[in-house]
Amino acid sequence: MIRALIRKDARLLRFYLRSGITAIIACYLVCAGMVVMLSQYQDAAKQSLTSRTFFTLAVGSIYGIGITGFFAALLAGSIFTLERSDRSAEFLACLPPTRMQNLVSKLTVVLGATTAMLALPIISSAVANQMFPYVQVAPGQGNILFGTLEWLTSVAIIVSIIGGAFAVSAWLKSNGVPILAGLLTPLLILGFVSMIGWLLDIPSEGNTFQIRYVTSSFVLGGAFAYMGCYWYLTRSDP
Amino acid sequence: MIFPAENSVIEVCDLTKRYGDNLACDSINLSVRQGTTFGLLGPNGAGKSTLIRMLMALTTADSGEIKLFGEQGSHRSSEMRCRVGYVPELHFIYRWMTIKEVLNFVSKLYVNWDTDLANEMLSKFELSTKKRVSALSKGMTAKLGLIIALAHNPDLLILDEPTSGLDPIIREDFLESVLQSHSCKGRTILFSSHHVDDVERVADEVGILVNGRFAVQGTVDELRNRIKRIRIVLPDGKLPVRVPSEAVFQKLSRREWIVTVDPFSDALFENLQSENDAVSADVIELNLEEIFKDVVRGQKPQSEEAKVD
Repeated sequence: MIRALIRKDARLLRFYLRSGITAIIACYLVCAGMVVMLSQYQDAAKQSLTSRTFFTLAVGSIYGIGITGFFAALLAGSIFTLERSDRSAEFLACLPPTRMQNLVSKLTVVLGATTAMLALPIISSAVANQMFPYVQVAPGQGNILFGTLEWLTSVAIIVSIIGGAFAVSAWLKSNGVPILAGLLTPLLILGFVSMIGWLLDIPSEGNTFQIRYVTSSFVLGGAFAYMGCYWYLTRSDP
Repeated sequence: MIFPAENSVIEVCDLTKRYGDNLACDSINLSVRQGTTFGLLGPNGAGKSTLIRMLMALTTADSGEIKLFGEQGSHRSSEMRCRVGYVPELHFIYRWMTIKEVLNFVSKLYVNWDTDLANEMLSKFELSTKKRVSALSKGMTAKLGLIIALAHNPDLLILDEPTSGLDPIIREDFLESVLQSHSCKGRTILFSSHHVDDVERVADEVGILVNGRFAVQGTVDELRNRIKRIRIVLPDGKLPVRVPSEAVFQKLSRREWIVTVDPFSDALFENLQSENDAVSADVIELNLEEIFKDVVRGQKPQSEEAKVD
């Protein structure tokens, strides 16, 4: 039963899924094109294939994360609302699956699709990290490499986006507001963490602020997602 | 309060639902025994769909209790849902799926899905499995809805105005299938409609819902025997002496006084005749449609027709 529901939910979001995967692949192609184009103006030593590949993978992974975040908001903001807007949620509500089974399917699709979309940037970033010692980069260009904290920050932002979109979409019938809420959630958490730091006079030396932000994003994003699940399970209408 | 029978499939007790100031269901009691076809009649806005949506757990009641197969609560278990088939008035089947995809999806959700029966109904209804739901006409969608509701052999079939807006031929096909499914499997059916002839054709028992309450309930024969129309021609210049407490509807036109009573009795007829010095009087047998109209008109407090001039 769950497999049939997952397949249905994946098909329900197929437009966003296809668009997301296309956008990420397109992002790498654009990066590759830009690197090739810009390398025309660099000296010969920096035009090696390794160097071009390194820049394509490293820059592509940064934009890939951004695209994943945007599509995570689309997916999480639409997973409940698409069925409510055309009232097919009523049809589903009369079929044997319980709310909990439907929720498990929807969570699996959103989290699975987001993880799959995040896989390419993670892999390409890891490959770029391996290539770094063998390429010649200008001072400061090494910043495009992602370390553990940068990756944690990216994942935390995506978790907060999903949580925010999920919580709001549990209430509404159309996906516009939930998507917007999802995209704004990381900014709201950033404002919240800054305000708390300022009010309590917490020092922000080194990367302590970033760690506080990552922790808050995971905690609040998870809490929002939990609230969305709870509201979905307990609301009277489908 | 109605005390449920031993083998009741549907038990509803004091069920109330409000939408703002509008009282959609007002302390409804209902008990439908296993194997019965219960016809739920009522004018538009009587509360039929609200009652059915509460039975299907599509909306919650403000107060009262619903039990299906003895199972209580607004959140139904998966096993219990497998025992219920539901055909709504408006179908919200996934419009982006083809008929084949819908049936394939639904078949994986029901443990007792009968693919042969589904295929048999598909060919009977001449539905092309390649068509998208969005491309289906209202009649075709209703037929697909009926296949989904019947192909898992439910013990209880709930139909909420399923023939509304369908042309006579599709309506005929639809009712034929419902009747066939009832006679073959002996399942319990709750059939809601404002087409009295549809209900009369399929129902063993009937309940007429007006203003969120059951005005009358009983088998079709019981209602015909119980509710009758008395026509009395009054002497010139005279009005009826009293309106009997049994009256559900009355109409006075010149000297002719027509009163529909529930329950009818010979004693009541003789009383009305004698106390009004009737010039002539007779008893008119009513069919279900006439009973429905009189009961509904009689429940409207402001109705001009119900006033004695």
